Amino acid sequence: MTWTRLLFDLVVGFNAFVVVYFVALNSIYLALFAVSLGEVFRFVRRTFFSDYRQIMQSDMAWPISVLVPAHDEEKTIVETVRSLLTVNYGEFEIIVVNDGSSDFTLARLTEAYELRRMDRVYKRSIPTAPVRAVYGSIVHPNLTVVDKGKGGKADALNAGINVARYPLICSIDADSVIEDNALLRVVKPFLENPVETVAAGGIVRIVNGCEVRDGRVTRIALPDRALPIFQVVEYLRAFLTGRVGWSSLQSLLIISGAFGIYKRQEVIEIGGYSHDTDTEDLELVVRLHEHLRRKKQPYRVVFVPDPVCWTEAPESLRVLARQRNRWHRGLLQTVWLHKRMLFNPRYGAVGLFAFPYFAVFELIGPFIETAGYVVVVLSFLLGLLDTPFFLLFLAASVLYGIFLSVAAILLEEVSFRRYPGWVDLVKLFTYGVLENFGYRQLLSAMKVKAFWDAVRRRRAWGRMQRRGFGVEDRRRYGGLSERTSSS
Amino acid sequence: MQRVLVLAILSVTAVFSALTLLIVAGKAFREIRDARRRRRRNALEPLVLAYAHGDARSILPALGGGVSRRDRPVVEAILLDHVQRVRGVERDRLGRVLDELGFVETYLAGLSSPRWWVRARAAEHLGLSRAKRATPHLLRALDDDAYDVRLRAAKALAAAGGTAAVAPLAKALSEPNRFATIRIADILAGMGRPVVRELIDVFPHLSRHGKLAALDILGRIHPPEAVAWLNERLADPHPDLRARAAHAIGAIGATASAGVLREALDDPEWPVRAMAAKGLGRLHDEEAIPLLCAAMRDREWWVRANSGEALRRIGPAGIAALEGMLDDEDRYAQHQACLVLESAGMLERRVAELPSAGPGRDAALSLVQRFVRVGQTARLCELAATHRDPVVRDALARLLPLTEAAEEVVR
Repeated sequence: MTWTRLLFDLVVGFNAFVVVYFVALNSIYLALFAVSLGEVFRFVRRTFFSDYRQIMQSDMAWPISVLVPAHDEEKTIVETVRSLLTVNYGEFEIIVVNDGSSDFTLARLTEAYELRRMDRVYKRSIPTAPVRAVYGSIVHPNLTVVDKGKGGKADALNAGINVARYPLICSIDADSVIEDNALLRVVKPFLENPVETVAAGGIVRIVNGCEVRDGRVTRIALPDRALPIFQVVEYLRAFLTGRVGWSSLQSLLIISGAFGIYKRQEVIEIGGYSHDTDTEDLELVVRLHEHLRRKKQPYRVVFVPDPVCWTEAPESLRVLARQRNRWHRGLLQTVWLHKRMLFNPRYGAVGLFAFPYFAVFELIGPFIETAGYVVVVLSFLLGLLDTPFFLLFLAASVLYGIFLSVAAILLEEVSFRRYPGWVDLVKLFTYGVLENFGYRQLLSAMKVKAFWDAVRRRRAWGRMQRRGFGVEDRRRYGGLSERTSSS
Repeated sequence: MQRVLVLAILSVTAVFSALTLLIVAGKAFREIRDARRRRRRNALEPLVLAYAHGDARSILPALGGGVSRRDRPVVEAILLDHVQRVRGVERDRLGRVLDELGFVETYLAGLSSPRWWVRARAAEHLGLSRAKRATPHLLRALDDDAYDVRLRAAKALAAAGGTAAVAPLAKALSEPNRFATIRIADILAGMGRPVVRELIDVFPHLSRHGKLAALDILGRIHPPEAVAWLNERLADPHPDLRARAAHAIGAIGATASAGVLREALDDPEWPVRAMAAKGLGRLHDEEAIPLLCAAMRDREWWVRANSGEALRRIGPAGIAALEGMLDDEDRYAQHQACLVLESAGMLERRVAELPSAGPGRDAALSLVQRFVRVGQTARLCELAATHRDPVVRDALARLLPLTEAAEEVVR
């Protein structure tokens, strides 16, 4: 067999594999969309009968400890805490964990909320970097600030869990803003099914372009720049078709670190957030699944599409690349750490479907896509390219991508309608089409690089300076906490 | 293969186009409809309100003899909005309009719809209309398969059916869904003392979490007549029920029950001890001070925390006891006492007296020295660095171990 023959066979084989892969992936997307459509309709109908005011006033609603890990967040932290202090909920405490900030994060908090040191005694259920001091607010008795040595986001969250007093913990990013009723909405699954629900996550939307006053989003609008708009479409697709679908199949593997709520005792039982991955939020949920499945304990991890957490999205390619690099590295690390779950019937639908989906399509997908472009060129050079077939396949692929984006916009339109104007709708459509010509390929390339970095064991947070939530600073960049794969 | 691809492309294009059309057409339709409704609302709302505030026997003449099919949703929205905002005669008149214009009949029919959300909405609206004739229908709806419908029916009954709704509502506390229980509890608590007897009667037949909800409701209503019955619940075999009963007794403020709460501080289960401590604080029971001091040595954090807080609530005698706890042998108790004294502002008040002469200064000195001995000096160090009075800062700097104060100043 000559090398050209071998290459020929490889190219033909790869092409056949790509077709099968394409059909499988898109069938899953279609199925998820169908499930999500029904689920969103059901959710919207039930929202009419929510009675959030009663929950807010009730002594029977579970109290919540809201954890806000902060590292060098001097520009946003005061606004974030202000937004949290005014959320509608009966009993809750806010615990800001200052994770070894080198800027004036602690000073800003001390000044704004009249903090004073407290000799607070608490149980160190999860080991963390040393806590230097615990502060309480004179003006807001439910605000606590933990000042500790730098240990990373996972470590900060673990310190917050140790100090927390209430049975539910809610993690919120320091650069995010949640809506008034977000806690009431996200806690609903715990009230409806208190025994089985162990975690719930809410939808995260992009704040770029919106107006924020006093820690509240007062005007919703799409960003002006292309890159964040692409991400708006991407987030809609990821949350409204992906997570809603996986959640209804009882296989939700991601709850955004930007806004998620957990039973504190369950998290302590599995040792808290892990330092071993770059995406502690994903890993925690996967570990919860693994732990509870092994215990054969009935449980639910739920996605609630209504509570809204607004977060910043990168506005430059450099920052976007860092963000996606971290997410994809984290995905790889998580899949590797929990590889025993793959195709393992012991872990039910999670082990047989959701986790393999993440490994095969989310993790490896970018390689196959990138390799596909290389093989097309190779096929052309070898004279193997069936041009009409290639063009048709390309058209089908692009059209399907557009269809998925438009489907997500449809879901948004029939349910929550956060972007009310015609201009916004046209923009979403346009960018839903355009993202298939360059943006998608770019993300794949970033993910391939992330894999390479993970293999070389390069870990970096890719931090960047923040601009704050002032009205004059509406143009945003860089929330680093949200993950938006297609699922 | 190519044919399959062409077929796929055509299908996706068709679906894509249909979706796009659906979105655009849906949005356009919604906006046109909403604009028309806003316009009609502006025209019709004054007429409806004029009727509500007037004494005309019927609204029909004001509306030109009837309501067109297109205006019905507008009039219905106006009525449902305002019926929730007004009280008294106006409320009754708007409720009667809902009946007069046939909306109540539509809602009654809606209760038989195969779709749960239609039934739920119908029940909700019947509650707003307060139509008495809806009561038997709503009672039947309490057995609906969908819990949202049961809830709406319960709420509607409370609004329309008066005390007739209490018994079914109390029974509905056994709904397995905590979300539902919260809402029903809220409805019952809102009805006030007429529900007390019914709650007590139905209590033995409720599920465990229904019983918990019933005890919570009593705690919210504060009925003195239920105190004796609540005291008996402190002997319930289930610790959660004992804890809630203790909580309710404290919430009612029944000082005569202080004795049973003191006994509950010895309960083998910590939730009961924690709630008993909380209750004693609410009752400002000075006799309980020694027992609360002992409870500050409890193994469970919540019992220690609630006992410390209870001592603070009791007043000067409790605060003195807390200061005394700084000399206790139990470190947990010492630390909890420090925290309560700090958060109550006692430490700061005492420290401010350091520059004075006489007993105030002695008390301040004693307290600071005891804090130092216990090792809880974080707040003191901060005060040593930031207190507005330089004399206080100096005094504290001398009293505190040198390294801690120096570190704080550097920090």
